[in-house]
Amino acid sequence: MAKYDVIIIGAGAGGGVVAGILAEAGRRVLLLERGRSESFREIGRDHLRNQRLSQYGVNAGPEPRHVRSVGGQAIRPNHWGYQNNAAIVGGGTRVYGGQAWRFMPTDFKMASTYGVPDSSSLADWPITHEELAPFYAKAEHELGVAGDASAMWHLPTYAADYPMPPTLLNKQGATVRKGAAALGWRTLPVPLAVNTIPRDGRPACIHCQHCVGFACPVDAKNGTQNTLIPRALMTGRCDLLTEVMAEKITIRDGRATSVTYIQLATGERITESADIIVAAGGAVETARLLLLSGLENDNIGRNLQGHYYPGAAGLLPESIWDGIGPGVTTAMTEFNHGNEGIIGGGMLADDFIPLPASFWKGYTPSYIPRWGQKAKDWMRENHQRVLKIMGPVQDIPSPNARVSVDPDIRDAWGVPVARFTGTTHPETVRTSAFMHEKAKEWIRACGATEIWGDPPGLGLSGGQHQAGTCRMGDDPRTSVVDRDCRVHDIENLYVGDGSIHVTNGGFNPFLTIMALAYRTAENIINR
Amino acid sequence: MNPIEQNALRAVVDRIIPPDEYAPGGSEAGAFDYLVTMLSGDLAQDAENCRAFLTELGSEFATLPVEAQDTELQRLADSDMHRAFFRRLCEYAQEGFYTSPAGMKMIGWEIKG
Ligand SMILES: Cc1cc2nc3c(=O)[nH]c(=O)nc-3n(C[C@H](O)[C@H](O)[C@H](O)COP(=O)(O)OP(=O)(O)OC[C@H]3O[C@@H](n4cnc5c(N)ncnc54)[C@H](O)[C@@H]3O)c2cc1C
Ligand code: SF4
Repeated sequence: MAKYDVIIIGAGAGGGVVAGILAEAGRRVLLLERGRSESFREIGRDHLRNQRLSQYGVNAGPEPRHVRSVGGQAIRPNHWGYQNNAAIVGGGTRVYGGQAWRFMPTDFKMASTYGVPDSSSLADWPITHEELAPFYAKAEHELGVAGDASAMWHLPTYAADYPMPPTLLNKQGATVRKGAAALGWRTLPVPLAVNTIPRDGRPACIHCQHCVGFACPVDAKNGTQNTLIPRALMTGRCDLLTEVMAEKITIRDGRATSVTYIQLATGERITESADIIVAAGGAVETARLLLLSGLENDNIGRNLQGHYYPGAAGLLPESIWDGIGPGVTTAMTEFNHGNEGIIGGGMLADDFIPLPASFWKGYTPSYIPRWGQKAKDWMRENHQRVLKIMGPVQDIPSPNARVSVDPDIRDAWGVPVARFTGTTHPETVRTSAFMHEKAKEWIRACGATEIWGDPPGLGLSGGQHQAGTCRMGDDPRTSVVDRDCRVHDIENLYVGDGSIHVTNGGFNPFLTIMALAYRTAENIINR
Repeated sequence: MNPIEQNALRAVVDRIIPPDEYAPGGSEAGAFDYLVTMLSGDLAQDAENCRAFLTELGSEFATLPVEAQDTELQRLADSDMHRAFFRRLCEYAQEGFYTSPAGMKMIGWEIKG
């Protein structure tokens, strides 16, 4: 008999949920993670080497030896184009901002709502918002999300409110609410995976300024590393191995039989078998792994989507600064859908507190000098008066936005790396330009005297919100997994991360990834 | 870097972030030390460019009046040869400043928690 019932590859958002639920349901689980389990101190607070500003390095993995490639060049995790999320126990949720959004019903029906633009692979999901709603609720309650369900006017009514009230309204939030009201736009508190009251033996948020891109100093930010993964381990039925990388899933006669993984420290290869295998390495690495495992479905790796994140910044007459973190408080969802001549749209919100160095690089107008007394004066006089509003727009998928396996470049362990080619669909750029104008309108309504920032041009979108590379669908010719998130024609291989998103919504993706992972765990239990 | 180059770089950093009544200049805040460390670490690929830049400024740069220093820096900022490096140097110095306690304090950014 095999030692494990289930092997899960990747201890991130999706993999962590599947591990917790299956271990509690009595399954013997092996959870493989290429990153390490790191404390608050180890993750640190380096303002120039973190998951928000990665100029010289990252603070939540992967280590530099995990290269990828673009245009025939090997690139490192902190470089532009790597499309990094994180590699650590908890995956992205270890250091994320925790914006915990449900997708809207229309987000699941993009093709039938808008039609399919030329050369796009826009499609409907095989499942609906209604089918996912109970799993959204599970994620919100088990992980711990703070919000106000009655304010979520753009969604079907919730069965139960969020388990915790919204985060403290800071000066920035009060300002943007006033501005939106002047425009007649409804706003709502951003749902956050943050303890706003003590919960499950962990304290409430102390409103520090290092939320997004860092670990929480008091462990009030909820990810899988402090919820579902400890639950899995507590059963005694889950073994978590860190610093191991799955290299290949062996597939024989329509069944996944085993996983071969590498001990990163020694290079030793170990093969472990199980009844069920769940790939949950994130949209880039899961595609790479399935391709390395010899799966031939041509859809694997295609339709890579992240989010274009248009926004703008403006100078307000007075300070809106009170240093109360996380920073983001208030969102506006008037333009997620129903925009004349535009496919989809997106949510806009105020921003997390930017670190001073990030502010200097990303929040200052291009017309100020970069050196001298004027540059310094500008920062001193205006830093507390700058308002930034931004948000993720619905990425319109292109089959050419693609992860494949590089034929030449290998990582430090000799494994061919993920290679990126293509760009998002040009419609994404149009939607993004539309939302950029809305951000400016909102900032103007808050009283801004100057507004700056440009909408992004055509490029590849992936990164922290990476999704789409193993999309869900009923037809194996146009999708990779079926509606149960099981790989077509492979009886016991599931995908449990963002790869399965057909489209990525006009919202941050992690809650949808978790809701799907809850549903997949249930599908596995009910087999 | 020899002492003359060091003095020149220190002076450059203090023109990128000049001292004023509100906050110390770049070098006192730590941006000079930051640069020295980085130029032999993460920014080693720019060490040669930096040396060429300082050579172009000449050995007297640190002793010039600040107005003359600014003129000289502006000349290099406008030159084909040094424009790109100077632009990067400004960013590096500002990184050093805005990650320093003095730089953060100047903009009212206090670390809580
Ligand atoms: C700074 C930051 C802020 C963010 N803010 C938000 C937010 O506010 N709201 C939101 O919705 N989302 C946010 N995200 C994105 C969110 O974290 C991701 O959407 C989510 O974590 C993706 O989940 P996943 O399960 O697909 O993959 P991940 O969470 O990335 O987990 C995958 C894990 O698998 C591991 N792995 C990969 N390949 C292998 C292999 N072959 N063998 C072993 N292990 C492997 C990886 O190391 C990783 O830990 C943020 C991300 C970051 C980095
Ligand atoms: S703002 Fe700071 S204290 Fe609050 S949850 Fe985020 S990291 Fe933790």
